[in-house]
Amino acid sequence: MKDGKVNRFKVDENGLTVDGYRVLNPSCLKSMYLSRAIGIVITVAVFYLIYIETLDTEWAAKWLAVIFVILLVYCAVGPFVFYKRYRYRMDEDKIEVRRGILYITHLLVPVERVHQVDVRVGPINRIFGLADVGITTAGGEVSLQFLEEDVAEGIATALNDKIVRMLKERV
Amino acid sequence: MQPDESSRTFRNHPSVIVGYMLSTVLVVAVIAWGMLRDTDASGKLTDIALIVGAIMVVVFLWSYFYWKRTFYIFTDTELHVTRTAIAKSDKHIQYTRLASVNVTRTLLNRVFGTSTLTFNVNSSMNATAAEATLVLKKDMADRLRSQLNSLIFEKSNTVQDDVLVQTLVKVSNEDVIMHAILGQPTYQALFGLLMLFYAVVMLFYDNSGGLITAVILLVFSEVVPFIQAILKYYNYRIFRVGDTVTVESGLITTTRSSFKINKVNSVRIREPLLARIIGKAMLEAEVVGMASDENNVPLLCPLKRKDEVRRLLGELAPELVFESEPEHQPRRALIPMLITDVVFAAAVIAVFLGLLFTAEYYLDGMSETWALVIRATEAFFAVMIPVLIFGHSGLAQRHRTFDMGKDSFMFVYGGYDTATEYINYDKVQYVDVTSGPLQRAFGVASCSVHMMSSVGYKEITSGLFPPEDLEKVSEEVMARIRDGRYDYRRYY
Repeated sequence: MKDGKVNRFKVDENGLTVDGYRVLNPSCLKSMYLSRAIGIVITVAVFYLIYIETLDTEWAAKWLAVIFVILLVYCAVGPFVFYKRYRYRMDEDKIEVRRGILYITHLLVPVERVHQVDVRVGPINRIFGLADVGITTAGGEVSLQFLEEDVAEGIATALNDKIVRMLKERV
Repeated sequence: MQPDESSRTFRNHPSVIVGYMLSTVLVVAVIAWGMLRDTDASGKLTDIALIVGAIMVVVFLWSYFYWKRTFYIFTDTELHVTRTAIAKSDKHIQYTRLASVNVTRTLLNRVFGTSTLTFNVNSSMNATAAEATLVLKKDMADRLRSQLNSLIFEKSNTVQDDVLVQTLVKVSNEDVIMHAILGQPTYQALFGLLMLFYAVVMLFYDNSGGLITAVILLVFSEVVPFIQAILKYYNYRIFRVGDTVTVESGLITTTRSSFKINKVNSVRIREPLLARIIGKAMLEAEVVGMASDENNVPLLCPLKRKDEVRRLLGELAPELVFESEPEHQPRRALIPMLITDVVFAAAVIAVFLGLLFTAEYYLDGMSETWALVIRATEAFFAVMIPVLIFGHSGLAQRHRTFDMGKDSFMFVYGGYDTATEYINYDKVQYVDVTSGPLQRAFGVASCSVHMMSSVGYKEITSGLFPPEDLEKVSEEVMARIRDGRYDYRRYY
């Protein structure tokens, strides 16, 4: 308890929060920081090449410096806040995700509506043994991000099994 | 395999080859014109003619090959499209998967006395592209549609019977013209007015480049949608026989769309600002296959008096509407909205102040009259845009409501243009409840429901309400799945 309120981010020995959610593995921070660093380097390089002549003017350089600092702060703080706030849980009939940096979203997908499940491993995530689970419904796609690869495979298999079982019951 | 109407095996009418050829001619003509314009044409005319001729021959042979080897077989349970061209292709479309069947008669159809039947599957993938398209002689298409009525829609009416069915709402062609004028979103009308003003200014300023740009934008934002709406909704009829709703309209291209009421994901009463002022509204529905592209709306009734639209909704889809005692957006929700508005308004005013202080550069060399006109325009927008921003929040606060019924729930959203949307719980694919930092401080959030739509998939977002109230939507969706109120067989 913290100031009379339940700490919804504290995990027990099973890795579950008080309301049964799972939190991300801290290695997701490395993946997020690395991808953002690469993104910043590419953005700055492209921007520099395009506006190399404009940068001579003092006011342009000042504005760019301000934008760069804001971007840098966001990239430094964003992943940490994302990691601290990201929680997910899957039970027999639904998948829930709570996530966000500034805007916090509680997302609920009924398993009954799931059409397709896939596991995606990008090059940066692969370095840290992480993967995303893509969940496709007729109303769009939702993903569980930065899961450890075996956890992602486990969730995808469990979801697929549920869908197959549901479809078999309907035949 | 040979076409055989008695065993419901069909092949496209040969006019489809003409259609392919005409499209190719158009593309090739544009490319050839470009080549002749950019190069020294005198020595290359023969080469270009040979290339064009070769392309046309290849397209003709290809189209003929495809036409000859593509068959449509209507069995008791499915449509089977089979093609044995370079690769063999077999497509089986269960009738239960169909969301809508459309019958269209374009100008080319009229010339050849044919009709085009399009079959749309209830899926968000490629929602604007039909799963199968079949062109037949009109009388043959009418006979097939009569057979399909009983096969797909379990409806015994023939095409001739449908003609005699009374439309559920009388839409005169004057109503259609009124719809074309007042039915567009307010932002589009404002943009049109802005372009008209810009065109007039450019005309007086003798700037032909600016004038042409303004006129083109005006034509595409106002004139083209106006003409499109009239052509599309002329001679409008809508009726329901059993569980099947049929909508037909069109001046040059006539379209008749049929869908079962259980394929409707949501219905929406839409009221653009000007229409609302004179007490009119329109009715739209989200059904896969009812809109041909992202700019189209699946219309069930053009602008009519609001009470008439409500009556029509009650008769067309009583399953979705309910007596509502809605929850209004709480007053505290206005505070985060106004804080956001202040930020935006401050940014707009800063831009115009910037223009004011740098005026000496860009007004240099202009006459005093023109400098005055430009400064007056800037001052007008510096005041008007913040007023519009705050006005939107004020109106949104007044209109936004939320209510939950037995089988559907309702979101009323929008500021200048409003929409009342009834959404079937069983059609909700997933839900998210989101709150920003300001909204959290005042204990409100918004809810987005994601579902299939006429153009793929879309999300509908509520106003700002206590998050625990909005969470009840997903709780109800889950409760219906758990206790069996959701029965997938009902939507076959």
